Amino acid sequence: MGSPLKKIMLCSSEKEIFSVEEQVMVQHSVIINNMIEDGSYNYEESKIPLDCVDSKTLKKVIDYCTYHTHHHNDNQEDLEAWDAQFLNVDSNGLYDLLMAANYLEIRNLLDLIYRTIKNMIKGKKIDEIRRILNIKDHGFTPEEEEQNRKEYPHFY
Amino acid sequence: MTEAEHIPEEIVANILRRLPPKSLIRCTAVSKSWRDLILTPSFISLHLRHSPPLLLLQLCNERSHPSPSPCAVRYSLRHDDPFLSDSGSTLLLPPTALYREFSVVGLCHGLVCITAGHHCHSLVICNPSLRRYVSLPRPRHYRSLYTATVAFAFDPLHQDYKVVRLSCMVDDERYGFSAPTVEVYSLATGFWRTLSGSTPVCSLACVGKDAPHGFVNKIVHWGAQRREGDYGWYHFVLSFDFVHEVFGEVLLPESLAYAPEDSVTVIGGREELSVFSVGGGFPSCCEIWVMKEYGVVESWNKVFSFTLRGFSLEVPAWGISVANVTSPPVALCIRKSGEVLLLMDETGKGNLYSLDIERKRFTELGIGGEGYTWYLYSGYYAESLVLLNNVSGLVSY
Repeated sequence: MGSPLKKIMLCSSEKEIFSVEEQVMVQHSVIINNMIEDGSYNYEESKIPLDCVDSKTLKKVIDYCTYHTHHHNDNQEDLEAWDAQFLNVDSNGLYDLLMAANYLEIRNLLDLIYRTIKNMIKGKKIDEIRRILNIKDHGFTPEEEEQNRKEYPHFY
Repeated sequence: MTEAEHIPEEIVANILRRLPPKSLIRCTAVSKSWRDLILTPSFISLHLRHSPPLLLLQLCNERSHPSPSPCAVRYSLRHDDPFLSDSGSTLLLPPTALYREFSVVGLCHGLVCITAGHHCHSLVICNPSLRRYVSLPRPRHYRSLYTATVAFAFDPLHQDYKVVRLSCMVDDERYGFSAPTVEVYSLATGFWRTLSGSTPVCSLACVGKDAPHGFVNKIVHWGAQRREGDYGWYHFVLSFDFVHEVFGEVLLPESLAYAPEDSVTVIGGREELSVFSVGGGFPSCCEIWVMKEYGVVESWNKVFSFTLRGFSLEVPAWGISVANVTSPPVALCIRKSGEVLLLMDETGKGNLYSLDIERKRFTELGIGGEGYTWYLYSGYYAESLVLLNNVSGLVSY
């Protein structure tokens, strides 16, 4: 486990540097935990390049990890309310967070996003799912799409 | 900015596997990439691994349903919690399988095998969460008096679902002296094959109650018996390996093997082979035995025993007694927690109990019904997408 005093540097795709308490990231991100444990992070010089995570997303990820580090003793209801507010973003913002959580292996955030998207899909009609998840290219030929609509009219 | 189309398949799979089969059928029309993903065998098995297990109970109450009617058999899906609370999910079986004579005989990967009659002639394999089924072709019929039993399982080597049917001749001369005739059905081919080769001489004990869920390492087990010289009936456990299609015999401890009046059945649900014996004498002694090391007869261990004295079921060591018990309990299955589900008959009323041997608790679950519960199957069931891919003769309902 990292010391609470130490800070580490994260670098977004726009080369913006974020300084974060080491413990916050070590507790949540499997990747960063591994880097600290195997000694590949140098506190004097290193910054961890996150080329596929933009600044806006990285800031949100750090917010999530910081909040959950300092509030893990809060009651479940309060945490869930905070999470729901945290994920109140558009579908592209949600996908950016999903990709970042996946890249950094932040398991509880990944799980939260998976559950959120699942709940967005469950019980919805196909047209709604496409709109909510912003799926523009469904990949079916016009004939296939027509066939689907004929076969399962109640799905749309 | 990430677009929906650029989310890697592995991540999409992790989201979709949380959805119930009904939603997933709909999702196959959302996009081509979702359809291709949902239909792959690897996604179907990922989904199954994460599908929460529910305990299926099948009750049939003779008195509450005196005439054959579509609601004679009741199914209920329970959470595997201490009191088996109702999950609210229902098991939707094909309309033909709802008549009284049909019973669930096997559960595997979200598929339910249902059969009817002493001869198990009508057989259906269905996926209730997809509402699809196949009717199996009729197996063989014999002119002599016989009883048949079936077991249903997945053969991982051939990636095939199989049903094995054992027919035991019960006319006077052959009862207990002949080997059962065996047929195997494969879902992949859609046909029955008669299995030649060596089948041990035996007759199966308590066909029906001995429901085919006594699995240990993909091998199914039944309590079996045969006539042997001076001893009368000799008891053992018959096994069938679905992959290699061979039979085997597992010896029982001597006190059970040479107890002609007793009945010995296999209880399914546990990793170790477990049997339940009901003594034929008065007072009657009911015992649960567990085989710690598979195939090693010395490793049989008696883990529990009841005594039925008059109409009182007693466990002297725990200071427990249950009054008005009209017949010995029936062991249904062992739950994931290790507790044993027992069906008790209390003055003609079927009543379910959970027996926790480790914590010395015997809990009445308040599940049963008004009339005499004459048959009850129980086993773990999880909703799945199996049978979604084309199998010949598939019918939607």
